[in-house]
Amino acid sequence: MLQVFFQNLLNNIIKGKTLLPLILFYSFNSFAQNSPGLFQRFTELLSEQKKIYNKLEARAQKNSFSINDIESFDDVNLHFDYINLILFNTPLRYHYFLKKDACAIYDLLVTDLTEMPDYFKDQVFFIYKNKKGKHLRASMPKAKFIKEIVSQKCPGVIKIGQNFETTSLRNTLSQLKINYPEKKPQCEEYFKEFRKAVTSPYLCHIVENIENLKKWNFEYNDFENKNNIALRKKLKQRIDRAKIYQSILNEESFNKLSKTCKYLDDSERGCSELFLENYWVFLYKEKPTSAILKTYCGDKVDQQCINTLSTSTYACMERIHQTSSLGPAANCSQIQQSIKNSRLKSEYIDCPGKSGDETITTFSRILRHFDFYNTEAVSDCSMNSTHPTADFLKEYTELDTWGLNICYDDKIQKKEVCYPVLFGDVKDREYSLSTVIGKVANKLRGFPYQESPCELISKDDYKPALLRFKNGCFIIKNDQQCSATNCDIKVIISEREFNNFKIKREITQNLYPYNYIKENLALIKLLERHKKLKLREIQNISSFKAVYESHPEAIFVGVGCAEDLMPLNFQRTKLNQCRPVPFIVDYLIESGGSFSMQVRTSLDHIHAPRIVPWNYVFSSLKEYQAVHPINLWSFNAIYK
Amino acid sequence: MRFISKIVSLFLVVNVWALPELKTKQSVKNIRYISQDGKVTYYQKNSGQLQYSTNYDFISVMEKPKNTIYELTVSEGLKKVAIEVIDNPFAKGQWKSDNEIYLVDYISKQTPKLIGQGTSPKLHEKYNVLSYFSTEKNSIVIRKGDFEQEIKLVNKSNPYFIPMIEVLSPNEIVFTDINKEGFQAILLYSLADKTFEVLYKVKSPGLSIELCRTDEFLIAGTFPNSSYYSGSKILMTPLFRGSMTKSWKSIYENAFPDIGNMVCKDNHVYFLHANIYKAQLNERETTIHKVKLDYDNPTTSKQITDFTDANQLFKLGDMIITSKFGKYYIVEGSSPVESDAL
Repeated sequence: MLQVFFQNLLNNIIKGKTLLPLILFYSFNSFAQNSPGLFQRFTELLSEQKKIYNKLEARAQKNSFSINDIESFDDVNLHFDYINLILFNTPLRYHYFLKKDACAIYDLLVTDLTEMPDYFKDQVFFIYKNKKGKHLRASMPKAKFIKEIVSQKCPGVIKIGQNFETTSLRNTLSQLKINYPEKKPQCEEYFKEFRKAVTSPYLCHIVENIENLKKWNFEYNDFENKNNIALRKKLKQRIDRAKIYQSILNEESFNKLSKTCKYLDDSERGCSELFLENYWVFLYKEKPTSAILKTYCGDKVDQQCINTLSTSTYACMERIHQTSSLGPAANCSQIQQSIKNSRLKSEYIDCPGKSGDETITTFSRILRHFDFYNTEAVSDCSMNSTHPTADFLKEYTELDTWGLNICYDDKIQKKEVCYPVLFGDVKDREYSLSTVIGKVANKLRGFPYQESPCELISKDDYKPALLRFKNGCFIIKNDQQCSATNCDIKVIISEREFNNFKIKREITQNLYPYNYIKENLALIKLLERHKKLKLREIQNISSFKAVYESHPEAIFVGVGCAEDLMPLNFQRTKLNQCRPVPFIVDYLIESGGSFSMQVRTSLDHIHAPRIVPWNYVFSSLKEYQAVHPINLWSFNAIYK
Repeated sequence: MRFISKIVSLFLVVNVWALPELKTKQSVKNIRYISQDGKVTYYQKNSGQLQYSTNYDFISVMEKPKNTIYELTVSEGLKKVAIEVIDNPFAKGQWKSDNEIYLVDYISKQTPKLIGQGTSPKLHEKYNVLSYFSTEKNSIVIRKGDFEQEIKLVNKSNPYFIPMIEVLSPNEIVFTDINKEGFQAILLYSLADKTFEVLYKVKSPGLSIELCRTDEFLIAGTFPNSSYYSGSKILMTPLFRGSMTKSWKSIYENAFPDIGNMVCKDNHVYFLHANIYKAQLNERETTIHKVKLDYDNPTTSKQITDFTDANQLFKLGDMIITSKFGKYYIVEGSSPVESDAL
């Protein structure tokens, strides 16, 4: 706390954020005989620093150093007092770079991220072992030290440095993949990675150069420096270099890197800064093909749509109203804030009302979040909400318990044969409707479905008078009334209706167990067993926070009474009325000691999360537990 | 003496503000209906049976497979019981599937009669009408004796919308619907002419409508559902004084988004009022208010209890009940157990 306090105190006096190393430096320095204390004047500390420098210089001058005297480059080390000087003069945020390895300190020297006073900025002090085995002190100009010693001791530093020279920078940046976070929860991880990356000091060096350009230009043109030719020459070199950096690094990358370098030691603030801008604009710039924008802009993802989303109160509500999900959704401003905070992976379009089974919708979202059965883009939104669950059950249960089948009487085998089905098509899936109908038609009518597959067609598009409908197999769906798990279909094969099949629908997929006998068949238990995901019961905010913070991929899955979770949408009109609704939580909002959760119920569009106070979530879980056959508390974290 | 009377008044105030918990002789969670005098209790058993008890005797109403859930609606005059039978909701996740709806006389030994498939049955005793909503057909079903008529909703986009229904006369039905832009409205439907009239339409797609009625008035509440730009409002219009559409009068307004959950009782409307709203958390501090249904001399609403953070309000027989953290509390009416005499 004290460190933070004094750091902030000094920030109000000078720019540079160097008090902490300063304090540490003086707290531990043996030769500071009379400890200056925390409130010693800064100028006095600087003067102490100069004394140390002079002492180092005097000792180094006693020894005439030659590179050939070095026994081994492994035995060359920076002088301890010199390391202290570097730490003393390096902004606190860049200290993270030193954690990488022993060579990291040379990255700081190469990139000039240490803000050394001019009078000792160009000299490096070190200790080496000579060929007689004696440890000696010496100094060298920095450029020469890097070229002759660092190149031997830490060749990687030189190699990376070369990649960031002005001549190769453009190529380096084009190859360098910086994964800027797309959402706030990933941001903390991004900062952690950036602190560890070998290239980061060099990127911050570029940013600092561009940021200093104005200042250097001013100094260069300052009348007072008119006759200081050495300074002007140095400034000119810096300005030229910074201009090249500026021409190579695009404005967006500069803005992001600038915020990253600036808030390396305060990622919370950094994440806020990185995401302060309107998330619609951010998505449009960074990911114009995002499914989220497709939901809100349709096929017209353009500046006009972004402007509408950024300014209109009702545009998002109206869009969500068209998506077969629970409405009204929140307004655009709230939705962009929620999506920005989202952890749940949602790069696909779903439509809960067209899934026909809310348990399957939520379970499919869970599977997709953990990247299972998520490889292909399916244009039918109802399939997006259902096929991952069908794939999962196909893999682990052969769809034995699927409960939605198309059946026919096999007269040869004298038994009913059933095929599991979904009322839509997903490439290469045996449960696709056209494949199942094709197989049945093949068995009963010899229809060659493999050469001439059945075609799904909406009721409005089927025009029997047209030539194209004269031959082949057509499955006619009433899109208005059909869902992926419930649909009355009509099959026409070569102008004749084919109806020798039955649809058997008894879907009983349950997320959580409702009795002890079939406990292991609950989807969440199957997921835990087969995909090796971990489940942890969440009873309170503390356990929620603990898992949320320690597992960046964790999401929270519950089933509660809709009447308590969404009292504005579902009014309880009878005693003990409870319509169970599965939901996923992926963010916690805290304000003034109160908490709300970011919730996507099975009824909500995946791109329209809602903010629900914790006491509503708790009430819904508690009420559900009370009516549940085995009094189950159904709120768990799921993580890898 | 004055001191004592002050203590007595303080004690009364404390008693008035505290809400008694709904307690019954058996677990409240099994109760599906309890009469005001506590003598009649409909309850369900884990085995799947629905029973009612009266004077320490019990009668089986119906029996379905284990884990079946029954939801009961008892008519105001205690004549009929509508039963919605929900087949094991813990094993199924299909919101858009309809449930069996049965009708039976109140405390009768008859076998309940299957009326149809749907949800949210409501008994309009004065006109001997049962209404319910078929999610699969997206239609309101109006049933009077053997006569049945369906009213198809305009709403095609919000698959989870369940309309509110009131019967105004033997020929007139009022219900809520959503247009294709997402605006809710109150419609008047004539069963004889099969014609519609829009009585009221909200001004933004974020507003939900609630309905209730008294003998003389139709009451509508408009509450912001999830958008927080507009406040809450309660309006009333007389049923028999000319055009209902033109006679709407606002009797209550709040800049904050109330939860609503309106209940009409004894010439008052009870509802959940938001005292404070924290937008960042979407959190309301709610209390229970009531406002007198006086069309000509509107009065301000009154807080009737300091019981906070309730999120539901509903009628159980003659009582008004609220719930919080899985427990039920009596807002109006006395606890049935207290008067459970033989």
